[in-house]
Amino acid sequence: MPFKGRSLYLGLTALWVAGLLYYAVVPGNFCFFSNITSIPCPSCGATRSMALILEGKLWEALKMNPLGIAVMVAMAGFPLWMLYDLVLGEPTLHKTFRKAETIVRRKWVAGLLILLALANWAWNICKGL
Amino acid sequence: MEDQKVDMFLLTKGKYFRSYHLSDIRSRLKSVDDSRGLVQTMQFHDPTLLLIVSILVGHFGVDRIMVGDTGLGIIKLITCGGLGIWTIIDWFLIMGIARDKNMEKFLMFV
Repeated sequence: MPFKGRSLYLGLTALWVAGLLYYAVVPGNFCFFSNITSIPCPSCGATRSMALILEGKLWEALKMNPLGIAVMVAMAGFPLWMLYDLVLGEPTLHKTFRKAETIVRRKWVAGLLILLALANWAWNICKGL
Repeated sequence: MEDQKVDMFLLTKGKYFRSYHLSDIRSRLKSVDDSRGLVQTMQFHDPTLLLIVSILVGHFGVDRIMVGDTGLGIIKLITCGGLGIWTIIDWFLIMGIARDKNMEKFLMFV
């Protein structure tokens, strides 16, 4: 890649490939945290949620873990965005990522996201994932 | 900046930087005018604290968020610590990352 943000693109690509392999190949729950502590982490159930989306069961997917929808959108969108940047020769993904970071760093945004993450985690624990 | 203050800075905050940066830091500090004492009050990330945070709660991306990589921290959280692999990798990388971020902050100011 001839432009800025190479390490971000390479890292996200590695994560995307790992995600695909995990979905396709790894059986059961691979969560580091839940296997050690027996408590589900905030993103436990995301893969099952993605499987439900692929079956067309959006409401069940949302109830399983709303983060699954975010991950699904990212998994589907990332290769398309990457291709767009490669064709254009412009690091628009990198620029958007940096801009999003400045927005997330605002106190009220960070506070809201933390609350949502904690709420999702509490819900995961209640669901007994 | 006086030699004594430079030595004091390196003595107290040298651990926050990579060893090969220290000579560069020394030469920059000697040439800076710090009559208001702002350099001495700069806050840096503690690599040891970050290692502890990474081991305990790195799975949730807290270590990355603490060093300023907010976006990566969020991605780490929603991917279950990068399927656990990223969590383990960061145990080995986080101290170096903290030191690099400290150097970036230092260079912005000095």
